[in-house]
Amino acid sequence: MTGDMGTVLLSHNYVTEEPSPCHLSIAKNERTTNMLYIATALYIEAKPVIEYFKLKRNNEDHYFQVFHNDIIALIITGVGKVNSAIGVSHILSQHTLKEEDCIVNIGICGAGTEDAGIGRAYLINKITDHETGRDFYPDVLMRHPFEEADIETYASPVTTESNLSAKLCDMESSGFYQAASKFFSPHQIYMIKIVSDRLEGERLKEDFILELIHNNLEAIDKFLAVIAESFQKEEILQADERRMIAGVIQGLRLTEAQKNQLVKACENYKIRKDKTNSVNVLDFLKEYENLRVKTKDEGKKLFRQIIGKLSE
Amino acid sequence: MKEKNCSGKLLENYLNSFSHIYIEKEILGHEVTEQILKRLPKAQRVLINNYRDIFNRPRQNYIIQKRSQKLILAKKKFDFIYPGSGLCENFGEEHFYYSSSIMNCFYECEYCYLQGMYPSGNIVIFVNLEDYFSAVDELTRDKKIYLCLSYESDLLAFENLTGFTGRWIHYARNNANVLVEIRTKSANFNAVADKEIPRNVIFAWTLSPQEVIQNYEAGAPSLEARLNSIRQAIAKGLKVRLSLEPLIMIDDLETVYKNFIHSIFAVIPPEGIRDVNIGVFRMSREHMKRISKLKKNSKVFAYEMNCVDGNVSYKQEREMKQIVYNEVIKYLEKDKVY
Repeated sequence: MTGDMGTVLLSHNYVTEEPSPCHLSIAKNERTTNMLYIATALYIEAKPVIEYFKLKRNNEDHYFQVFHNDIIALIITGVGKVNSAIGVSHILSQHTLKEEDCIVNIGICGAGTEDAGIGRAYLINKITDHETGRDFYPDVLMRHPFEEADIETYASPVTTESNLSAKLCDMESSGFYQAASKFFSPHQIYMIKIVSDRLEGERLKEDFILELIHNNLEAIDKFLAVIAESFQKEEILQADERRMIAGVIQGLRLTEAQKNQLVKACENYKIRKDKTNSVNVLDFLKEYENLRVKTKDEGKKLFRQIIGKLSE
Repeated sequence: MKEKNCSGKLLENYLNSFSHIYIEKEILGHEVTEQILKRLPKAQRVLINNYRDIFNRPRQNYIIQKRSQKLILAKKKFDFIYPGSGLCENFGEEHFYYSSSIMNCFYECEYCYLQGMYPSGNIVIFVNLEDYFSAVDELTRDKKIYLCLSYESDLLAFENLTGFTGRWIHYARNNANVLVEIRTKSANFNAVADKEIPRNVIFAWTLSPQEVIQNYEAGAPSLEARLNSIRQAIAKGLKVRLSLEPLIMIDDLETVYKNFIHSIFAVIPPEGIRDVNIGVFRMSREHMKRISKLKKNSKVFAYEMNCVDGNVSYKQEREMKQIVYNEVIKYLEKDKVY
């Protein structure tokens, strides 16, 4: 955001359409259970996103407006870098975060140069906090359909381009990035900014902002689908192997230390045999899966036998 | 292929390496900066104040960053030369140093100690090589030194981008007190083949059996390509160093390594070899822990290890080294084998 909302100066018609097929849902359903977090400054920036992804309001959150579905949690933080940082910290500290999760800031911004066309979406590759002079760099690792730009974050609305050091400006990015980077790695943090004005100081019409976001949603969706599937970890042990090992652990009455040793030995065995995607390598464990020992000593003996085989 | 366990679909999502170049404002206009930017005209340029602002960011993921490595161009301001590590072979040289004008590498060797050594998987190129030369001038004023240039990267692999190897060769021609070693896995000798290479420049090729290269050295040239590059160097009159390390545990180890040694000497004349060093994979325990955490499915650590004096290696370290040593001395005098 480059200024506050309210006065209507520009006239555009925003039409709510039937949402297109959601690329993100497809990508997520195919592969993962990881979450995507979205932060916007204003409800009006979030509205098209909420509709597109069919998010529902979380009425249990008493501090922020939060909307979610199975794969997305969206928070409306309020305007400004402090509010953005608070909102991001709030939503992220409420979830158990995974290495595959990502967070995206979607919002409008100002541009000091004419080559940044109104309505164009940019992926941010550098953020400068105007007040502190500090720079921040999200990783840009994935292919994307946007142009890239740097952005300068100000504590108050920018109405002149005289002291703008970056191509774009806003009031949230540095706060958003600093808060997000306490929880996430630089490759998990993204900012997509859509140019809404050239710092004329005019207040923007709600419909205009809705349209700006809406027009870029399909591209944003496709990009979110890419980042949702690109950081998946390859599990060494497959689900049925884990179940089989759990059966062995229970049947042989293994201690916590023995359990850890067995799992590590199974993983190393699979890696050595170079058949990470095969379920056959550990098949010999099936004969132990349903055994039920009567004493711990009996379990210990069988445990040593298994470890011996896994050391081959 | 960058990561074996990553499906093709996922890798397609990543930008090519060097898609972005982060440039310190201070070295804009430097000759090397301009040369690199000219060679990568399509890269997205991002101006930075200090390379540490991006290279030392907290919580970076080395493994994921390696899938789309970025270049960072910077100016080195101090610590141009470091004393050599006790874990590295000094070939009997008394004053052993190393220097890094490039940090990180674009090969993806599973066993590489660069993993976990830096906070980032991106590559830093310090463009002010002239300041390195001044530091070596100073250090060699009253003594001869042995200086390894390619420990924290692969200098020759970057030659087409930086021209650093050629400039070190030129420098060494004018400073008889420095003996430099340029270690590489590249097949890029061609890039310096037209230079007059003095005797105080040693080219050292790290070689592994093709079976190890396929399984552990993603992105690195094949054994055949490296041997061709070595032959080219020898044909130019150089005496090269062969670095047979790290020896890596592999199925049917004895046969694989015996065939490997045989395949080297089938094409490389022993008189073109200055010396050979043999070393089994080893690493400090603390560093191994860092890498294991980064790469849970690393094949290197899936074998039983021993820890002696804080350094880990395979249980069969001695036997592995003996197998290779016995084979090498069939072709070379013992005093050339370290």
